[in-house]
Amino acid sequence: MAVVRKILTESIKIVILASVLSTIGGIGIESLKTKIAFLLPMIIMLPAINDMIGDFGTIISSKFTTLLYLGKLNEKWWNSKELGELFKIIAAVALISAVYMGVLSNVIALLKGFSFNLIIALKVLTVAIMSTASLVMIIFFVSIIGGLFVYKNGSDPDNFLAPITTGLADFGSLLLFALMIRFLF
Amino acid sequence: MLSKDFKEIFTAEMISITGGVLAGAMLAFYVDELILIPGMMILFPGYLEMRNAISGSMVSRLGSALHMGTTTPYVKGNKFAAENIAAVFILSLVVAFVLAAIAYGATYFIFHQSTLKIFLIALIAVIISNLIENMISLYTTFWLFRKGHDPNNIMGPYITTIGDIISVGGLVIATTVVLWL
Repeated sequence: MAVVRKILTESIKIVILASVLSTIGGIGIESLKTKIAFLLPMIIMLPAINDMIGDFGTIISSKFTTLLYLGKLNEKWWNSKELGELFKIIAAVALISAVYMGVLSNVIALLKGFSFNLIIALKVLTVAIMSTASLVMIIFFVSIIGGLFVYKNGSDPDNFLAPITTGLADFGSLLLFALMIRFLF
Repeated sequence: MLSKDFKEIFTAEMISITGGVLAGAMLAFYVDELILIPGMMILFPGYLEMRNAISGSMVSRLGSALHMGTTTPYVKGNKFAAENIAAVFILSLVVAFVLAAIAYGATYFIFHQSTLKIFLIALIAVIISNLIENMISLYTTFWLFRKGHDPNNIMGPYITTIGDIISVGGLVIATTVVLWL
């Protein structure tokens, strides 16, 4: 029972915090649920976008922390070649992923009988790209500023950045998703 | 020439997105039933996050224990694995209850419509997805290790991908059962 107790005591707070953040993001979706129900591609895209932004949060924070520990980052982080390279890779993968997700959601909606409408298809693609691009930028910025701050104070950025960026990603992706649906559709 | 980092991140993301979209397709198929329950769209993202966080941590713990040699890659008679499964089950039930309470409270105070059925749906969904996902995670982690692979490199994207599909499936079954009752 020692393992059970250890897992429960160490995990419960952070799992509740991360899940509650996502749940708060879901309030925006709940207010638009009847609208979303008629937009099949958006429903199809919802779990994927939430997951994808969270993945980028984990990747950016872990890579950034590794660069810090390897001594490849300092006060003048904007001059770092490695950070620039990381940004380029993340931006390229994020853009391709967003387009793939938008196109795949439209195709599956079409296969499920959703009548094709070019304007809606383009709007779905816009939501995917805009949400991904803006949140990846925010996560990058938070990782740099927060990571350097925590590191300078002698703490391990790994323990701080992963929960904060994934939480921000979950909460932000749903909120942005809801806002874009409200204004674009 | 594409860098190793690009290839690894890109491959993992493509797999993850495909799984997420498949989960979304399942969700779309049952959306008419799901939106009948007030608070379902509030519960949904937190529920997915919880499943992925809990299962992700479990496979990570199993991977570390296998590498350190503190457990064997066999399910039968494995106390460490049994205790992990028990802990994950209890943790999921507690967090599901908390999420259902938030969904209930939010719909009650913000949207002025709520139903206690959301608690039953959350608990049934967690039990169904736990039974399937945890067993798959456990057996796959051990199988990969026995075949000479590092579960830490493979199980992360794999668990979030199958986790989304199983979790949405569990939620759909739970909603159908509760609406039928």
